[in-house]
Amino acid sequence: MAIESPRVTADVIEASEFPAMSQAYHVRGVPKTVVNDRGELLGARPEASFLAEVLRLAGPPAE
Amino acid sequence: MAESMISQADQDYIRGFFAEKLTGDVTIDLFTQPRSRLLVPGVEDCQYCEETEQLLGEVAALSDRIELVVHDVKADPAVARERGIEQVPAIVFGGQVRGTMRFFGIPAGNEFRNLIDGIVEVGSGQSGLSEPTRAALAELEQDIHLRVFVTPT
Repeated sequence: MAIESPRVTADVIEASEFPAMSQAYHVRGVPKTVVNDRGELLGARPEASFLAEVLRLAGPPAE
Repeated sequence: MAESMISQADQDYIRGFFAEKLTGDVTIDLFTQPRSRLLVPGVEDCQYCEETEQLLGEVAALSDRIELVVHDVKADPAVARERGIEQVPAIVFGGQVRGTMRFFGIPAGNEFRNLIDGIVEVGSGQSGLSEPTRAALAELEQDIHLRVFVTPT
């Protein structure tokens, strides 16, 4: 997604190397995708469904 | 000299893969820190920094289109701050990426394949996403920060 849009920052985090961060985000199973620090998706999804969920969780545009 | 982390067979495969699919230049910025010689309370050692640097060095050697730039965050904390890097090892992909694409930790196991594919995507500017997805991304009205937690096994 980051390839396509300048608005996207995509971080992949190897959970076992960053236990403090994994704990802070309550990571119990992977993959877990946190969106804008306000919502999360557990597991993998087909592309269209992933995108829809991400947009829903991302929240409204900033005013 | 340390043994190769990537087997000769895999190196040959990846070299060929890059020759065929890597159509543009890629810069990989690696943020790392050297192993401490002293045990300093409160200062965490970076368990996989050395291996990550070695692994990325081996990958970068498999194509002329890949440039690896290594930043020591202890020697130069300002550059880490500028780039918003707070955890190491951190890999930042540069090339035909409109947004920001980063990997934190050593890209081993399953993630190694994603590293190779990520390099090709960033070099070619081809995300492989469908037309509707790309259209939606072109019209994004909000910033999106994804943190994807993974495991190598």
